[in-house]
Amino acid sequence: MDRSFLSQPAVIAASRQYVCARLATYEDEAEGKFLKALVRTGSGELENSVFAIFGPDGKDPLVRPGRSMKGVYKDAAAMADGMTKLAEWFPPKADPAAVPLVADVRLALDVASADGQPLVILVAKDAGKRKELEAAAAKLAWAKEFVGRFVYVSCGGGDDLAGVKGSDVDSVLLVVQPDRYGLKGTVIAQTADAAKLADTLTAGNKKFVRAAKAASHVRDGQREGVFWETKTPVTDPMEAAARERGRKK
Amino acid sequence: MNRLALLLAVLVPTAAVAQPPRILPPDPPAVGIQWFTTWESAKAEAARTGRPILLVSAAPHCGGVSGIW
Repeated sequence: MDRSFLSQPAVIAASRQYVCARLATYEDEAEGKFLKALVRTGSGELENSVFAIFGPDGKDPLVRPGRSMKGVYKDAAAMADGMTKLAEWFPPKADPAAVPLVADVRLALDVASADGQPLVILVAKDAGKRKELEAAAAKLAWAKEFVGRFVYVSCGGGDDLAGVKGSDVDSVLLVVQPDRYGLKGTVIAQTADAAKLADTLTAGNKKFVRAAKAASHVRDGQREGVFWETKTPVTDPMEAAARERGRKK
Repeated sequence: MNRLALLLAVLVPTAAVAQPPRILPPDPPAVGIQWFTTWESAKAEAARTGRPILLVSAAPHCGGVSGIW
């Protein structure tokens, strides 16, 4: 993912006019097919990264889809400017209101670690109560003080929380510090009171320790035996080869 | 000549195995883009709000190691 563009304040500001979708390549078969059809690659297969901008119907690309935004914009400032001009064609009808949930806790820990952000886990065994919790969290996710600061996931508790240390049995919201490789996490704030979600997010954000990724992250992980199993095969030839080399270490 | 050969013997293998340092992208900011993480949820929200969609796909692992984009 090209952080040289996506971490820039101008691009982040421009993103607030959009619905932003960042899919995890190789974690969903249907999404993989969609992404593969979107971009013609040298290998003819789905490769690690995809970039596109669509209108609100999600059907017609507004820029030529490719592997990276670098193929469309010369730098982050040009991207922010281009995004703003495209957004002017689509006056918004409403503000975002859905909580942006990662598919499961395992992937959410990985994403939060990669993003260097705290992970918010909404916990309710009952599906109806979970929906209520998600609706309450959605109001907070887009509030000025919280937007862009957390990764979210929702689960039924129990085995879903196997990789998370320190959760109380009756908690409905956990703020979790993911570990270096996003394989496990530790609860840094939690509440069993659905009326205290905002206070718990604030407390968790204060306790969260942002750790820069070391240049030796991949080498260290390979040496320690870390290996991420994807849900679908890794078809990017370079990445597939790197995985094989890493697995043999 | 012998000195040159010795120097080459020492330097060439080193150069052949030397790896360029991995240049990591800048760390993500504390306040970033708020991402939807599935295409279906993003499309539904875009249809509801009338907003365009910024789509990125990436793998949150590198060389099989998780915790990094």
